[in-house]
This record gives sequence, C-alpha cells and structure tokens, in this order.
Amino acid sequence: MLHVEGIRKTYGETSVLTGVGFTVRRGECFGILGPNGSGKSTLLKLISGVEKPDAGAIELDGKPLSAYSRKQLSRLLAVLQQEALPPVGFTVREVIEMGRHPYRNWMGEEAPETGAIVDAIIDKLGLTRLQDRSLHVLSGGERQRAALGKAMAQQPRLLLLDEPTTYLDIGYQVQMMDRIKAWQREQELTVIAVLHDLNLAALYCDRMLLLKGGVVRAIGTAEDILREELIREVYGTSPVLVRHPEHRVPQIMLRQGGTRDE
Amino acid sequence: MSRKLILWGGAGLAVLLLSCVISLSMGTARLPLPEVWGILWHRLPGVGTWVHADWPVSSEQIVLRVRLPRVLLAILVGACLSLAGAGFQGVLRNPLADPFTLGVASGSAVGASAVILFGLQTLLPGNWSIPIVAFATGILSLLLVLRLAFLQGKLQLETLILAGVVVQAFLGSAVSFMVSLSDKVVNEITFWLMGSLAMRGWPLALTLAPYLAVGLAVLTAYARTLNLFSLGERQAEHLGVNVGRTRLAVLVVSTLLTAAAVSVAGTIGFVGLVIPHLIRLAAGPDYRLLVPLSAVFGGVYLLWADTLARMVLSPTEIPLGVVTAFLGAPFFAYLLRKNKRMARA
Repeated sequence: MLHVEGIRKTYGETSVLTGVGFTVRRGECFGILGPNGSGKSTLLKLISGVEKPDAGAIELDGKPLSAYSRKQLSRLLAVLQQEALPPVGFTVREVIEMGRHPYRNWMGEEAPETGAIVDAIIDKLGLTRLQDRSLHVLSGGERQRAALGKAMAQQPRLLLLDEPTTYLDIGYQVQMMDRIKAWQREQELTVIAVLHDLNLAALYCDRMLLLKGGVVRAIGTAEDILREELIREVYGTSPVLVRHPEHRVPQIMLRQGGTRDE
Repeated sequence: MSRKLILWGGAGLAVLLLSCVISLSMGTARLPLPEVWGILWHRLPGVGTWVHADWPVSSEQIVLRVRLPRVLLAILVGACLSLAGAGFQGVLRNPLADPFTLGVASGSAVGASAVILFGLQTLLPGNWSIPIVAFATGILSLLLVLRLAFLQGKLQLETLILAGVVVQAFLGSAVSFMVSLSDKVVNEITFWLMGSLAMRGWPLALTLAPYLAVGLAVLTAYARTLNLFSLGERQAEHLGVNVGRTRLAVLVVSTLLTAAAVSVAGTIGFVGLVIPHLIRLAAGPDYRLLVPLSAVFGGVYLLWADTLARMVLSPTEIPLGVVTAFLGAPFFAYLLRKNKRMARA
C-alpha cells in the first residue's frame, strides 16, 4: 500500500529526517512513535503530500506520491489532525459534506450518492442529534468526532492520524480509536497513526515504528518496541513494563525519578 | 442552499431598489416618490411608453443627470469594497481583515494620488491609468503587510492587523507628503482622499462595472473553496484544494476590487468589515451566500452612507470616508472584543 524509502528532510540547517524507510501493508494499522522533536509529524506531512522530501521516494499503491494530483490524493488518503476543527459556524452535517469535496465535478456539483453516504456516516458516529448544530457550540470531543466524519466522507483507502487523541479525555480517546478500528475492519482501510501514547499504540497498532532524532530506531510489533532498554534509550526514562491482563499486549507504567541525566 | 439564496438575494435586491428610489427623491430639491418611480420606469425600454410623463423636465434632469449616476456609483463602490472584504477575510481566515485595515486601500491611494499629482491621468486611454497604478501599489502594500505579519510561517490574527496599521500609517503619510508637494492640486487630492462620490458623472460609474463583474464572478467561483478554507489551510489541502492558487486568485481579485473602488471614490473604510460580518450573523458562514449578498448589501450600505453624507449638513457635504468611519470604527472595536473573547474561551 505504502512504501517509503531513504527519506531525508531538512529545514534550513537542521536535518529532521534521515534515511527513513518502511513499508505498510493494506489493512494494517501502523503506528509512528518517538519523543518530541523526533520528526514524527514531519514524516506524516511528507506522507500526506503537503510537503516534499529532499531525497528518497514515497510510493502509494505502486505509484510515486508526486504523480498524484492534489485531488486524486484526497480521494485516496484522509488526515485526521491533532487540533479539533476550528469553531466555525458550519453545522456538523455541512462539515461532513465538505469531505465529499474531492468527488465534486468541475462545476462543483455533488455526486448523486452524497446524501446517502453522509447520512450513513452521521448514523454510524452517533451524530444524528448534533447534525444541525454548528461547530462553535460543540465540545472539543464532539468537534473531533465531526472531523472523523469528514475524513470518512472522503472514503479514503489510507487514513493518517496525527495524534488525534491528544486533547481528548480517556473516554473519548478509546471511543475514537474503537470507531477507527471498526471502520478499518469494515473497509480494509490502512491506518498510519502518529501517537504520543505508547500504551494506546500497543493496544491498537499491528506494527509500529520508533523514531529517534529523525532516524528509524526500530520497527516491529508492540512486543518488539515496548522493551525497557529501548524505551530508556529513546525516551530517557525507565518505565515499568507490565502485560495487559485482557489484551495480552505490553503496557508501560511510569516510574518516579526514572529520568536519565542528559 | 439555493432556496436560501433566492430568498435572501430577492430581499436584498428589493431593499436595494427601494433604497435607490428613496435616495433619488432626497436632496435640496425634494421630489415625490411616485415621480421618481415614474421617471425611472419611463426610461426602461419597452415599458417606458406605458408611463405618462407628467413631471417637470427639471425633475427628470435632476434624477437622471445628477442623482442617478451618484447613486449607482455608491452602489458599485459599496459592492466592490464589501466583496473585497469578504474575499480577504475568507482567504486570510481573519474576521478583522478589510481593504482598509490591511492597508491595501492606502496602498492604492498612494498610486492614485501619484497619478493625480504628476498629472498622468491621460497616460493610458479612457479611465484606466488611475485604477491600474492603484492596483499595482495596492498589491505591493498587501505583499508588504503579509511579509510583516508572517512569523515563523504562521499568520497571526492580531499581527496581521498590526502590520496593516503600520503600513497604512506610513502610506498615509506618503499621500500627505504628495499633497504638500503641490498646492495646485491640493484640493483635488484631499477631497478625493477623504472619499466622495459627488460630481463624478456617468463615465466614472460605468468604468467600475467591469471590475465588479470580474470580482463577483471569480469570488463566486471560489465560494466553495473558501468554505473549506474556513476549516484551516491544511484541512483544505487535505480535501484536495490547491491552496496556493486559491490564495493568489482571491487576494489578487480582492485587491483589484479595492483599487477600483479607491480610484473613483478615495479611501472609504470599514465597508468590507461591517457588511460581510452582518451577513454571516444573519445568513450563516456559507460563502456561496456570503459573496453575492455582500455585493448587494454592500451597495445598499454605501448608498445610505452617501445619502447621509449629502443630507445631514445639507447643502454642505460630509466626506463619505468620514461617515463610514463613524459607523465602521466602533464596529471594528466590537469585533475585536468579540474575537478576544472567543480566543480566550
């Protein structure tokens, strides 16, 4: 589905990413992890095509990313950002309809199936009661749900998540990830998620990539990544590792005074 | 959507027509409303013969020769400025943006006064010299303001307005300097600068029409895209919008509209701030409504502002720019407070 090879990206003098490469399979949930400033968000910007790498190749469905037009790309991949949508005056329904923009013809006319698609999404996300409210009266969690609906309306095959749960409470975090997981199973969607929370990543991602200073430190399953010495090396703190009693995946617990002196 | 547009647009046009007739009847010589109606109908091809002309010739002269060009000019200038405001606000995602607060109007004024000062009006055929030079200097000042306002690749809400104020102060002084350079044309520039629609006649009113037509067409075409812009530039980009091209097209067209309006009427501030905001409050944030309605109601607003300008101290005229500033500046203060409150919440 997505193949990344030898990516380099520099901003002025500072090099943000060096020699980054990995492959994501169809239907997979792939996590991108790493400490602040390790280049996670930059990597996601490159994959979404809003920025171009200085060197290296990104291939989507066997075609270089640069060969797609902006509009073609927006039918293939959707991005759910960290910040919720701004508090604009548009209603939830109107915002979700905006997700259909890539499918409008040059006259700006809607495809005939738009109404049904939007209805289905509103129903699935439990937004029926809120659909005619405008965004500026909704809570951050509700706005993020509308943003998810907009991404769904794009009917992408690849969904990029840029720490979408950062500003959500734990209830909304799990709800959001569960909804994305269900969508993923139904549509054989591929998900690439930049996540801050290692535990959340271990729960929801099939494989993950650990970045350190713009270089790939490790790629593997939760078992491969959530190891004490690796976490200590990359994050500079020694956590306690435990096994999740239900999901049988590793989880970390923070420990006081575990910081390594830099 | 389209039903809403017909409803609001219809109401807007009705208000516009009514305002026209009332404004035409007002002046040193008061004309009865039915008479004004009659004179207008009489001139319409086809239906003209149905109306029996029972008014004095002088009334017809006053309405058609003196007042109608001015009324039309007010409507066109108002529509241009209001559209430009809607465009700037949409593409810069800043509710405080307007031709005046961004310094674009002052930039255009510098170019226009230079043309007047050096007597270059006839450099190009027709009435083209002033608008074209005003457009060029308007674009330059917009670029300057944007350059000042971009901090670390991010456009801050207040910084943009601050940059606009700084540039506007500088360019305003440049215009004053030009005025002081030549006492021969002092009256011409100062009078025009403060904004006035008096004694402009038919030709000038008609030169504005093509600019308005182009601006309205382009902004209407970009209305949907501006809706997506309101979610943020990156959001728009992820939805397949060509962000760079949209920004360029809308900024250029909005500056063109500003330059055209400034060329014929001087700097008339805050129209582009007041009207789009009121329409957002009444009809919602959808640019497919906002763009055409801004044009219509911008026309209505400036028509009444100009009617006030010529009626309040009649026979003395108040500069139109003064009237719109009296109405618009408090409104700007209100918007500033409102946005502060929203930013904190």
